[in-house]
Amino acid sequence: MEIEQLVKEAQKKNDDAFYELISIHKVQLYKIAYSYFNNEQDALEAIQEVTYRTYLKINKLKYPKYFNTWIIRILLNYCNDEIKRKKRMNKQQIEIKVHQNENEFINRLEIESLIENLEPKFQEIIKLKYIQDLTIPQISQILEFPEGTVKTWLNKSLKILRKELEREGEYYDGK
Amino acid sequence: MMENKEDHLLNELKDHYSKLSIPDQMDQMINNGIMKAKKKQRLKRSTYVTTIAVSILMLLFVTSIRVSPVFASFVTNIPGLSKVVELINYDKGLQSAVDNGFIQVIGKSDEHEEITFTVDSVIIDESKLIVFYTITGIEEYNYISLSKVELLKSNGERYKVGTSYDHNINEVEDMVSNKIDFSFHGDTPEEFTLNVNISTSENADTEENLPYTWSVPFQVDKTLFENMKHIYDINQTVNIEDQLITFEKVTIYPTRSELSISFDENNSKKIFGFDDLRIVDQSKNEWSTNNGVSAVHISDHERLLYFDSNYFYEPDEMYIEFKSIRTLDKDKLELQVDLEQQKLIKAPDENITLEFINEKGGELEIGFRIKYDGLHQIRSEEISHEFHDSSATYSFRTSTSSILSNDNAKETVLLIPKREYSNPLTFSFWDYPARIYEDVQIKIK
Repeated sequence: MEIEQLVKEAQKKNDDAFYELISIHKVQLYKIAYSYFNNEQDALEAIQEVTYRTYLKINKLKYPKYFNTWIIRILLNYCNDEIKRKKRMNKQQIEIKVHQNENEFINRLEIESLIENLEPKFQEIIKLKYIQDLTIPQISQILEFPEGTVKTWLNKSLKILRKELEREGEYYDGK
Repeated sequence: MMENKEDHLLNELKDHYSKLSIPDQMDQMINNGIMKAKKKQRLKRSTYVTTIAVSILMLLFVTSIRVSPVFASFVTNIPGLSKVVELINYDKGLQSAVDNGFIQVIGKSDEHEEITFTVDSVIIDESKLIVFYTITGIEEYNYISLSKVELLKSNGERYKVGTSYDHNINEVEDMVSNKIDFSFHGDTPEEFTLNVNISTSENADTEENLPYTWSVPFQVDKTLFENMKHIYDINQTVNIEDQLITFEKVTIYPTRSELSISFDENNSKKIFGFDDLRIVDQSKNEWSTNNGVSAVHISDHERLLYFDSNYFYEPDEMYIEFKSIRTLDKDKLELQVDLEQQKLIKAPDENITLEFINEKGGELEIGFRIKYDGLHQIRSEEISHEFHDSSATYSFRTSTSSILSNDNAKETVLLIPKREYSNPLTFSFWDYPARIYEDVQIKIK
């Protein structure tokens, strides 16, 4: 069935259609959540919470064809709130796993920590673009900013990342 | 060409996420989410009363710890007012009004579909009415906001007032408490009816107006605020680089102070506003202009500016101070954009630049970048929402601004209707970050 059809069915309280709808999007949602929390447990928690919120609100979605942007936005709201809450509770745990390829692991930590230092809106754009492979128009719809703004911010974020990497480079190579 | 390092790292990151393993418990979590939602729908009705009772107690407990002793005892005497403290803690004039018992308890409400809108209390004088309200019965919604507010006189006629309230959508716990500000002049009725509409949403996109009007009639005691004001005549003219500004008088009401000023009609510059404008007393206590409406344009050359009130404090000496004015030559007030060549053909100075023109849907996005001198930004919008080409005048509704914190600049994107314009488009300014610096102090008393 098409997404739009599934949404309409789910709005009529058809639980199987609703389940199917979430299943179709689960991998994408999981990856976004994972990019925020960096651990499996919290990302799974996010899936449960987003399923819960979406279930309660699905009747309020006026345009079924925007289900995808709509549910991503619910997820982003949840992730942002949860990150804030965790910071408040001072519970943010850093989970370090054993990786086969240490070099790749260090690279990833480096870029992820640089992304984490960007302003929240820049972070969001970088994650949606580079981790989820979304297009500028899609990002502009999800974040509700004009495409031009998204482009400008994306370029700006990349510029900041480049500058930071260069600075680190100098630090290491400078001897 | 060599790949940039950030590209390389971002691609590695992308690669990592594409290989991310999807845990088996995922389907279980989806089921849990559905079960939890179904349970919530069943339980909604039965938990309704208890959650409200608990949250009121919590609020009382939390706020009474951090307020003045006077106020704490006042609040415990009249349950339900505790939230007021939190809502006015940006304004020390209002705080001292409340400390002095200058608040009237109303406690009236209206209900539709389990949602109750209550007018808890008001602060009122001849200049302003502040209504403190609470909305309850909203557990099933994620976000809620007021979508329309109207104040009526007892005869049902609309009372002409300046209205300001929080348009932001509040994330809902079990209740929302907030305030609505009404500004007026003299002629204060004793009986009002407040009508509000409420909208609910998951996010700004799905915002939905509930099809009811919550209507609460209430009465205030006029004798408690009649003639409560101090008027100080100033009549002093200041000359800043040949621009004449006359400070006429200050009227101090319990809720706020009002400064009347006028600009000389022969000034060669248009003055948009003052920076760091405040009223100070002999010991440098200051009353700023940060509440709600900060200026009213009576005419092209007359303004009313509002400050926090010091009515209940009554300093021995008072001064008006500011550090600079924002101003442009009257012949530099235009901003002209050539749509075809995509460039600015007229601008006040080089601090404003055209960044892009894009087509989007049925609209054109015009992006400007406005550079600041590093001192501070302007909170309001700079570019007016009315513009014209060589044949007609148009207006638009949407403009979004974002502060680019790294380089003292602000990006503003105007969304104008797409149509055949005859080039160029001319905009004007509501405000602009061009300043003349001069420390000014004027004695009020």
